[in-house]
Amino acid sequence: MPTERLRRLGRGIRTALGSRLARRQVRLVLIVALGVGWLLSALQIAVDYRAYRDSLTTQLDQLVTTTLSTAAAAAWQLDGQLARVVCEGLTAHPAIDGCVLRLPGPLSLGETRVEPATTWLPLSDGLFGGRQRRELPLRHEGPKAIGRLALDLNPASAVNDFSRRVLTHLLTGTLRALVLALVLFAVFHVLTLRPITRLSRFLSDADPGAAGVELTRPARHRHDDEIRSLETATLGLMQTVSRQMADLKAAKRDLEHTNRHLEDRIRARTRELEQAMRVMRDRAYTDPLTGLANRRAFFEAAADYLARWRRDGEAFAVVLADLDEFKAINDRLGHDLGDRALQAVADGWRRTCRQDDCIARFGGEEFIGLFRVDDRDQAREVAERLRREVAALRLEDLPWSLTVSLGVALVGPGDEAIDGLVTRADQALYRAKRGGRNRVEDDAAG
Amino acid sequence: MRAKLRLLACLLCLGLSGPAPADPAPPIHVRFVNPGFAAEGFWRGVSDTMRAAADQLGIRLEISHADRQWPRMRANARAAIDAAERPDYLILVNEHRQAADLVAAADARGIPTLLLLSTLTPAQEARVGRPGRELPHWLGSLTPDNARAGREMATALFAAARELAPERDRLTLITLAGDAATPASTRRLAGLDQALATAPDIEEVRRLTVDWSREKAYRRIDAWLRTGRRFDAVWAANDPIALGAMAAAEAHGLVPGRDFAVVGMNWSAAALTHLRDGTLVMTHGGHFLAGAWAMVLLHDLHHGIPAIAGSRHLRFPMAGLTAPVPPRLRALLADRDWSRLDFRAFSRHHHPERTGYDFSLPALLAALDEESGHAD
Repeated sequence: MPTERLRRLGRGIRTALGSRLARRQVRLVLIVALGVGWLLSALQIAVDYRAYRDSLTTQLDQLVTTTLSTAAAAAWQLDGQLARVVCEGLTAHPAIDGCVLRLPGPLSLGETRVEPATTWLPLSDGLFGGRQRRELPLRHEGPKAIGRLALDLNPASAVNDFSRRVLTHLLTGTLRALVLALVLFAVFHVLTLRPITRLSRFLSDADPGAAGVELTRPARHRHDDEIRSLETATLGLMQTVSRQMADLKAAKRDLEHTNRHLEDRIRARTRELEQAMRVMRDRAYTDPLTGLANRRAFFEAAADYLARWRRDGEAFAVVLADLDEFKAINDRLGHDLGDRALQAVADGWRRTCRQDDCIARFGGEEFIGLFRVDDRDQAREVAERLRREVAALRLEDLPWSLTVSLGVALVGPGDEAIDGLVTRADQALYRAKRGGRNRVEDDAAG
Repeated sequence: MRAKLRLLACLLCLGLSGPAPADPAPPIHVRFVNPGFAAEGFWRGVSDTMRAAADQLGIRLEISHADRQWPRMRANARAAIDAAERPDYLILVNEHRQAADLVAAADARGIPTLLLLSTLTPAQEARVGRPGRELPHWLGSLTPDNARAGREMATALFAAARELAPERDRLTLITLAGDAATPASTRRLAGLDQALATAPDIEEVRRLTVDWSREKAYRRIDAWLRTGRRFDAVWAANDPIALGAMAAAEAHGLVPGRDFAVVGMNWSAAALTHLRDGTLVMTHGGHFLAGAWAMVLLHDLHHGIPAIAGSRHLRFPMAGLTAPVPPRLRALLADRDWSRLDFRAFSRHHHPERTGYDFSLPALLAALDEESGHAD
């Protein structure tokens, strides 16, 4: 659990440092803080140097002043031991590395020298007055000097001391700048960057079309700052956009719905129209009583047969049929039975009709057919089958057998129009009628 | 046990000493707390003369030595005061001003006490009390006349220096003081100052304090001479100091007695030799005889002589020896057999016709004469 938290913290820090704004801010703060920190450190060092130098001077002056009377006593008393003690006391000070108490003439009464301190600070020779020798006259109850106290001043240890202070100043100044930059960065991150990042992520992730756009609430202490206002404004904008998009979508849906409805109705009407047209066409090409093709249908089909005969050589025959004694039926037995007889013949022939054959009511009790045949015999055979079928019919309320006479005309090379064929078939029929009815005659005899 | 040993030592001393006790009466019992060494120096002389006189005067004497360490002296004094056997008399020294409360303690124990050679300072006396008054058992003190000694030394020195350089009207003096604190030293310097006041031709260029040390005296004089300066006279607080100064001067090619004059103090054997050589002007002294004088005084007191009826603080004179020293005295100072002096000659008990004491050099020589006559 803690490692997870640590990992999350690390990720957070990486993210935070990844921010360009944060990097820019850290850089700027560091430069300014370091600059100002070092400037202040330099000032501090300068002030320190003066104070330290003055204090060192005062210290030495005090030491020398307090020692001078003892040194004078030693010189007056010619006391070498006391002189050595005085010198030892003086050289115990870190800034004094040599002391000689001289009497008039070449005689040194007491002398002490210590290992001179060295400094590690380069170019520090002039600091604190540098190395120097101070000679002090010793007096006893009068203006005449009875001896001299010579001191070798060496500020090396003071320089070292001061250098350590300088280093400390610089280090603490730098550290202060770093801490300041870090703290400012953290504050900036928490107060500004994180909310902005959150807002921008929200904006890039938000789907204005989705219902109920909602932004998670900010921390409780942040309820009035500018970023929160920005968030609120953004949220309001998003909600407005979302609402308007919803309206737009509803309008579009309505339009689509309307369009679809219109198409259906058009389609239905078209279908109805087609139906009506088909019915009308059927009515135009069909005999209403028998349901067979009518005269117009026959002639249109005949044109096709004729065109194919001329193009491919496919032969065909025109068969004209006329019910025998039909007038008698109408007149004696009523039109109703006549109609029924016509219907029965038509039904029979329609049942046995081949696909390529066409049988139409030609008018009254006349029927006409188009049949694909190879030769005249085949044509007669077709006509014969039609005659037999009629002869086989048994019609209720009809006291005699129904018969039919048929004339056949086979298409020939001279046939340019259907009319010739029909005429030849009619002539053949006439012969059949005359020949005794219920028989088949063709155009060969003519 | 310790008391028995001391008694044995005393008996041995008695056996070794010459004359037998004169008085048949039970011996007077005296304890002396000596601050110095038993085997050498000034304080040995004090003990030795005291013992010689005690032997002649029938005094049983116990001496403790502190080897110049004042805490040890205090401990010895305490032991002497608190011992079960109370002495008839106690002798103390105000060495390093350490005797004030000891005097008071002895008084509290009812032991008659005499201060020898250095007495309480006025401040100390004001604190613990005066002899015969606030402290009834404190007898008083017997001290040498140091001021007179210092003055006599200076006078002799100045005269000798003037003789060495009669053509000069200004002479330089270097004073080598023992210390700046003990009364004996300051009194002698006071005597010197008295003499200087009457000698306008003498310029004291330095007053150096050398802690009674020959070595230090040598170094100071050496330092002075190495600065290229000279002097005409050296007033030394004692003989070792004088000898140190002379040695230093000789190292710089100066001859004492020719180039400059020196005086010392102590009657030391070496000083007597230099007197005879003419390199030393005078050695003052004789104060080690204070031990013997104290015995004379206590002996007389014990026998009812009103020795301290006048002043409680008695002074005895010291004597400056110059060349030529009487041969008898030189012999005595050489062998230091003090028993050759007849100390009864100084006793008022033995000479009831006297009204005071005469411890002067002539009297000393007289006492020696008689004894020497016997001995010779």
